[in-house]
Amino acid sequence: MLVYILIPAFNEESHLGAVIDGLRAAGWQRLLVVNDGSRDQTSAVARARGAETLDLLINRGQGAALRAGMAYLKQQYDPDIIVTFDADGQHDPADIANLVAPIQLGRAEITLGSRFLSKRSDIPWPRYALLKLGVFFTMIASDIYLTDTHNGLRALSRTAYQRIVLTQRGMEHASELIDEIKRRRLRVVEIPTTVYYSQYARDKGQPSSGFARLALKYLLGKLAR
Amino acid sequence: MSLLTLLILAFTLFAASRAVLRWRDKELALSGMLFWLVIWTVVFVVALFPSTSSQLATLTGVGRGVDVAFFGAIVLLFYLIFRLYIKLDHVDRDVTELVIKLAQEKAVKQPPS
Repeated sequence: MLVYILIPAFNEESHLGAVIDGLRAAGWQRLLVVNDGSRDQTSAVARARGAETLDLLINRGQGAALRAGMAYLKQQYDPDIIVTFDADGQHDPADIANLVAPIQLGRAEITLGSRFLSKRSDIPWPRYALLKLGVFFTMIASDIYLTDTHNGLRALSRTAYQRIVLTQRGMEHASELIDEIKRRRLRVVEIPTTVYYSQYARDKGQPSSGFARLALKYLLGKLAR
Repeated sequence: MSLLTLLILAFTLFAASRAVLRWRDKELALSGMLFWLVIWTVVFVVALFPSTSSQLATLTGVGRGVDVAFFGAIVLLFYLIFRLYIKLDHVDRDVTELVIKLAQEKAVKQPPS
């Protein structure tokens, strides 16, 4: 089966190299880095390590980067599975095999990583509380229960990435993706995955205060559609 | 007639003429021009015949004519902000689509080495 790892990246020149090396060491050779309008050498770092790159002229957000990457991969390679993987070193390449297995066995059309199913993630308590709030919000807004609603590590079968339509360009795309899973009646399985909270990842990631804005943007996006 | 009333009347005529000119130059749709003509006509009539606002106040059960004017203006402003938000969202989405298409075209033209 052809599996492509899709890595959206914005200003990740300092960590992307190690992420790509880790993926290759784990056996994943087909990599596409979507450079989301970075102002540093993100794209050059990716190319130097032999990864394909797709360069967005201006920063449009992770949702837009993923949409661009999926459309490109669908057109160029029509892979069996696309795995989305963060560029900041938060994800563990060792988890990818467990993510793709249910799809390969025909048990799921999309698999989502869950740090709450894994005992290895050391989640800072403010982030833990906010993520749990996100789970509750998703249950109300999307009428679907998942243990981790904002994990960037996921695997999509061809059926899933062809049918899912993402319109929200920012981080709120994660909530929209869950809506699409429900709307398209995709078989979803959650897989325990590890999320590493380095100081770099904490500084770069969504601030705790941003979650309320994220929820509002998601709801306004639904209204505007 | 007070100076303020004259200024308001002059301004509404000016604003209405801008709407017509924009429509003539095809920068404003017919529906948009008619919308703004209605707004400025109401403002013109109320400025010229202030008692109409009092009659409106009695009709709507609001205390005073000036309160009707304020409530009406606030409702209209919220509606216009909502319309602007929708338009802005559409433009934002169009920009994203354009950026994605440009990236794809560039990538296809320059396949990986």
